[in-house]
Amino acid sequence: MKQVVDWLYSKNPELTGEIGTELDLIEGRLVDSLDFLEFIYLLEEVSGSPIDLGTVSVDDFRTLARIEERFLSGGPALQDVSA
Amino acid sequence: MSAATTTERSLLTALLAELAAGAPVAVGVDLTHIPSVGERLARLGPRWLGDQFSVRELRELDGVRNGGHATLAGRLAAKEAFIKLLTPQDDFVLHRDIEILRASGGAPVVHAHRSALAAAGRRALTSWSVSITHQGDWAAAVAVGAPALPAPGPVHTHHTQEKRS
Repeated sequence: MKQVVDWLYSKNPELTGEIGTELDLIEGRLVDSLDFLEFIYLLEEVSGSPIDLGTVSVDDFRTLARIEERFLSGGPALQDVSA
Repeated sequence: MSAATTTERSLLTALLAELAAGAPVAVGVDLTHIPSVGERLARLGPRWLGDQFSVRELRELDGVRNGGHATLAGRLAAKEAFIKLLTPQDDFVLHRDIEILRASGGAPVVHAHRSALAAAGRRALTSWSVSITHQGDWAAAVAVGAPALPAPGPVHTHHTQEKRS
């Protein structure tokens, strides 16, 4: 998850403070349309699994909590964060 | 200003009819930063390009010798404007499912597929058009769409109803 948070900060340098796990990343425009595919690629890299956009919804990317639950839960990413 | 094609005139006529009838006309607009597109292309490479554009679009884009990044940005702006036109809710409309191709005469034309076509269906949009422009570091696009016009039926006036009764 740290890689995901770091990526969000890199794309939004004006951000100060913590990105809450329930913050709406889409409504808050922390992930804009031009960056969205790059965000998908990052999640694939972190989770170690490809993401089929035909099987997911916008809500799956809306908050850090949902992203962790949907893509990173139990995967290599969590092990990386806890390491 | 270039002369409108027959298709554009037909669409404009339909849209004006929609407006005159008080029917909803959907609009989407987008502004894309051209250098940002070039930077992403350099960094993310062919996969990013292939996830954004169809094979037919890539074939067209290959033929663009000058201002390639501006053309890419213009097409992306058109795709985004079209997505805003569709206003999908929780469903994804993939860029690759919105083909922006060049019609005869050079005007952009939208071919909606799969996720885009499904979203258009949910909004009952059956006709649409996009326009793209570039200036300096920016590409902008506007998309306009309208539902199907109801078939014209007989005109019933109060007078005729009175006569029938």
